[in-house]
Amino acid sequence: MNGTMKDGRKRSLVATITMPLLALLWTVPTIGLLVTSFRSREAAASTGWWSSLWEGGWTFDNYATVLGDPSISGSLINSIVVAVPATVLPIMFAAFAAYAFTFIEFRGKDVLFIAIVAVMVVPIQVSFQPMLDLLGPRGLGINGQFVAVWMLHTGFGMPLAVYTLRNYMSTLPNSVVESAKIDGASHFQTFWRLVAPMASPAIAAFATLQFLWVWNDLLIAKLFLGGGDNKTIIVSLQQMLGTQGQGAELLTAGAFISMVIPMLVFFGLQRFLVRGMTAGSVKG
Amino acid sequence: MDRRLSRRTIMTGAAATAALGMTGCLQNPDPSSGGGGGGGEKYTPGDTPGNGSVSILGAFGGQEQEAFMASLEKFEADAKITINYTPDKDFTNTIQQRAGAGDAPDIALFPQPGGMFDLAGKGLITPIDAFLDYDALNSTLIPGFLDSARFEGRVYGAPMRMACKSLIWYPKKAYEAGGYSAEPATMQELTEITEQIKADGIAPWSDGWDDGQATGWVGTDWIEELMLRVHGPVVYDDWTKHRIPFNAKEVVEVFDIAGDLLKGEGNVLGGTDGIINTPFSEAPLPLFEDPPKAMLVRQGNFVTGFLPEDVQANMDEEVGVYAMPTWEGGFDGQPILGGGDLAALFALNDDSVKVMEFLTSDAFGGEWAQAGGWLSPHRTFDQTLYSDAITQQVAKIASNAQVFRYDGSDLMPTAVGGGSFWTGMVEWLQGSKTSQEVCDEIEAGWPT
Repeated sequence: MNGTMKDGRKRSLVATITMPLLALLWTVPTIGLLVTSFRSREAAASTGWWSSLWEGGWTFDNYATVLGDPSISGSLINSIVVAVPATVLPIMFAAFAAYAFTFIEFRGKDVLFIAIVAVMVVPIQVSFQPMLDLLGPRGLGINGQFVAVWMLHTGFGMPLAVYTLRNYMSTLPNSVVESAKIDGASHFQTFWRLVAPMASPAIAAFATLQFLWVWNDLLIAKLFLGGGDNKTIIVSLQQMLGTQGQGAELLTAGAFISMVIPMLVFFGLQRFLVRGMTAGSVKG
Repeated sequence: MDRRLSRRTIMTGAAATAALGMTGCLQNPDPSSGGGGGGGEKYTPGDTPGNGSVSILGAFGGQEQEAFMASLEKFEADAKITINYTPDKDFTNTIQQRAGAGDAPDIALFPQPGGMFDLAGKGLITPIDAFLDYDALNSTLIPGFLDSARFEGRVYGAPMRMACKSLIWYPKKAYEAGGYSAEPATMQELTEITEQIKADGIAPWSDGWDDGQATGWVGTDWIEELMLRVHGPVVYDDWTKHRIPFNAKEVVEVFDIAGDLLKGEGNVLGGTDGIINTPFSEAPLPLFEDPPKAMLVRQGNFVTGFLPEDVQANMDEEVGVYAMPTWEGGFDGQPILGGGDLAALFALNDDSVKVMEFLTSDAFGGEWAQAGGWLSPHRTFDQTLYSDAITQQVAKIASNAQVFRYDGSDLMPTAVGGGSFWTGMVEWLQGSKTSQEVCDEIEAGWPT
């Protein structure tokens, strides 16, 4: 390691030591969970996970039991069926809306935008009972089908998505959009050819967050999809617990199995993500 | 003057309510006498044909779910009914939300009566006397069970599983090697045994109260057990139904008795800190270490599922159990504290009634009894079906009880029985509040 970085600035010794330390500290709970998932219930109950190196108690049984559950593979697929449209739909609508809010002049634009931002403060739990009435047997009767959760996740994901994407789009150079207009491009063309590609970091960032939120969601999945054939992986995992929490050791293994797909999504989108993290934070 | 008058009015009112409540308990649950809301006339098969499938929502998953489904298999084939069981760890909230939206399951298995009463009050549940033979059911059940499911004079749920709580577990080999008696007749004799154990350099008790958000329920069980033993079932009912205040002198006395046992120097492994920080499921582990660090655990029959695996494989030789004994100078008979899952019917039709009849009969559960961890609430259940001698012994303890009482904290309003009583127990154990202060505080927070 030499003393300077690529751009010629000096490396800081403090940062070089502190950063890996912080990163390690941050990962400790996850490492603990990982170690515990390979330990038997008794071993996990009687000794701390850090002592497993010399105390032993290692086992693959937890993973074997979880993977041996016939409903697991089905609910993994269900989770994907839920999460992919529930990520794509809100982003698609929100990107259209954000484009309109940024580049199109129309009456009531500010009021509408403030209204959208304002509904972000409505907690999701407040709306459960009315939504259950609307989607349940007294209303549309689609409770328990995938379309119900797609609608809910789209609805609840949209305000934040519109807000984030509009703020990012407003940092894009207006001149690019204006020159496209002069060249005779329609709004549709401007959006797909110019704005959408330029906004891809923000879109990727939001897609990751939305995907993780939908994937890890228990409440909506349980209430609107139920614990039957369409259940998601998270609902499946909580169903492994007995009355007094018997089977809790399986949850650690299950958590890691359910983590695999979000990890793939994260690493897949990471290329776009790092730039997207600053989306909306700097406004021109 | 004014003030005194009003207090007197309140007292009269309370007495009247109490009297009403008592008549409610004695009332014959004949549907024609019209006790309360909910269904109405007696159901006759054929009124509403079913569609061949019945949905059930319950709180237990994992191995218990497998055993539950296994015990339904034969019935499903014989009756040509498909049962769809959905477990939900958050049953208490889910059932309220789903029933409130008109999306209730056909049958729900309530772990506590409280939530069932809420829905019965809204008229969503059919009382069992409308479709089951109440008297026949009552005659085979352990006495007192159906009364815990009574709301405004009618019974809304029938038990399909029992939890027996008044049990004291010990590591058989070490306990017998130590020469301690396994048949204490009274709590006072048990105290003598614990003194012997202490003299041998072992902590007599191991206890664990930690259960995440529900921390404290193990403590409430201690109070309920002692309440039942020291003051008897009549005062116990007065207490759980709030006919006497929570800070009555009887209750405070019981808190002090529990304090002598739990807070006494060297009585419990790890002292009060140990109790708070040990998950209830891990309390029995020190009993089976070599040499044992503690000798006794008071916990329900479900604790066997948390014993070390090698012990579970060899239950009858490793584990011993006896009923928590009576209190000398207190109530004479052997009381048992317990709980149960209550099956309640939402959708009344031929198929769901058939399922209810089977679930609540003594014929249900043979396969579950084989798998372990389950007790039938029926005295007439074939006890040879239980997989080990220990469970048979527990079943005998439960069915021989002179008095069975439902877990009091489950009967109290949720704000107390699932809230201030739990947190109060923790504060009391930590010593930040005295027995009197804790009881005063719970009484002050009792919803009116």
